[in-house]
Amino acid sequence: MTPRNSRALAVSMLTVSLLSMVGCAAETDVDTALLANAVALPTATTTATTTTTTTTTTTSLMPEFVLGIAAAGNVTDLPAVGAVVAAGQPLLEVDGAPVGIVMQAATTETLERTLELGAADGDDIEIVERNLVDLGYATADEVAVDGHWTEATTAAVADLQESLGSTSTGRLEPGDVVFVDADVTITSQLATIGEPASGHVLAASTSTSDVIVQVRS
Amino acid sequence: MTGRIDRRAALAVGVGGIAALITSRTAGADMPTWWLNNRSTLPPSVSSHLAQQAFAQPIGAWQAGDIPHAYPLPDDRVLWLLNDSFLSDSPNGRIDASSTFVRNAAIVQSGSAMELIDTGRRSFAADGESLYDRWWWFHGGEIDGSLLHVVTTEMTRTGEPGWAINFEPTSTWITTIAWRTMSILRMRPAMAGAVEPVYGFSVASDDQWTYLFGNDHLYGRGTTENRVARVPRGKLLERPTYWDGASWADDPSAAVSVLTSGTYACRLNVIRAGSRWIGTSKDDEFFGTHATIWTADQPTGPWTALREIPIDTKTGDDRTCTYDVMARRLDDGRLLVWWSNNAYEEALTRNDPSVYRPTFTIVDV
Repeated sequence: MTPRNSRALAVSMLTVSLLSMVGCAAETDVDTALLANAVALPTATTTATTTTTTTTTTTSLMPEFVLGIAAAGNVTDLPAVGAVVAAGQPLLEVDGAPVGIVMQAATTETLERTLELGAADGDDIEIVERNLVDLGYATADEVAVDGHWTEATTAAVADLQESLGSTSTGRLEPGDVVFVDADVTITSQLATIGEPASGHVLAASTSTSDVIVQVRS
Repeated sequence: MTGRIDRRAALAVGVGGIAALITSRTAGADMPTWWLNNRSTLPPSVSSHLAQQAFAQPIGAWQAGDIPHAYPLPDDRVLWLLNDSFLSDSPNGRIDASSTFVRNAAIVQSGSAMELIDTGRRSFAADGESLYDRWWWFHGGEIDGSLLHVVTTEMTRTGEPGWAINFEPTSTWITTIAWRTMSILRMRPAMAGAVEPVYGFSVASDDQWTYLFGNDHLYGRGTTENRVARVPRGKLLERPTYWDGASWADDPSAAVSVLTSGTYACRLNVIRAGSRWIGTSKDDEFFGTHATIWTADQPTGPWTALREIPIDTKTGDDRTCTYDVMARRLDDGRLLVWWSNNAYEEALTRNDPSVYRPTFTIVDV
């Protein structure tokens, strides 16, 4: 996640044009942060069938996000189309290790910096802390949800990693986790098991957005 | 009651004998997702295997032990956490100086395969343990995502060393296990940390709530009452509320018994079976002769006796005893019911470890 101020500036520039094109600004309380990672405008798709006279028009107004995850190796497991990836679960397995741990947040974003003891306070840390408590890796007494990383946060992250079977470092690197505003439902597998994990690997949706999961090179 | 008291004394004497042996040894996840799901029943393959084979013979180094708690895991494996157990490099032989006594042991079942988790001949939960003075016993548990939370009592010796009723629970904890790797992540004092009763002695869940059944009976004392508290499903680290007979109260002193039975002890082990709740108990534990299967529409009761099952001791006489009747619902709707066995005389167990292994059966209800 980028520093709040610079991101807010960038977002504000996007917001006006996006809202006008979506055409629902009047009814929607749009969180500017929600649009920070928007990479494509809402789409309108028209499907015409040749066997009947019916023409179906499907309109999606959901913003689309690219979630960057860190991975190196071959894809060893992917969620099936229709599978739900809930908070605390990884988006896929690479070389047998879970990658792209989903965390519930108010916005859909990618972790953009290393979180560890000594990291500057921030919203991303607060999101991680809230998830650690909600997922049972720490109690609210142990890990305060305040955006400040402590040794208790490190211990809880290490427990999270251990429980998923990944290397237990107690540290989160960019792309280790993704922040989404709802459970992720897989809509398409874009990678192949056994093949190197690169580029777009999954398409998915949350209740408010479409998501492309991309492995960062 | 005289007979019962005499038998308790006999048990204490017998257990003391075992302790001498031990001392000498001491010198030496409902909605499936791609990564998780929440099964509440054992896989079908469990039924025939467990009823006929599992725990009737050594499992790896596990020779014998008691009170196996079953925790179905989201990946269809089953974690079995037992209380006192003997481990040996020669598990088919008698319990002797080569055997190691542990306070708890973990066995993982995958289909019909059973594997003892190798802890280097230590208890599975060994941190803070002083084998004969302070130790951990496991009780009910529930899955929370990638975690398994298990209610655990800290047990403390209260009398002379020995395998006797010389101990009592002193606090209640929550053990958090990473069920994929079977590693214990944390042990924390439970929010319901008292021991009168131990809430979570038995744990069962519906879609929304996890119910912690509370009972005092941990061998050192009897109780015929069962209370119940609840937390959001799987959230055993949270502060529970208690059933006061009409609603869920914050004050634990408001809790009332939801089932009172027997004259010495009645420990209700509860599971959810479809739309109803099933409980198992053994009136008067060591001294009782039958198990009772109970049913209720709600975990708060009323509980109605559905069926009684005669239980014979391993030796068919009073040289051995039975206790802790538990159950799991099989996928075919029947119940897998089991109980623990023990001998009053140390020599009997030493010479024939099978008298210290649990008994399994399948029951139609």
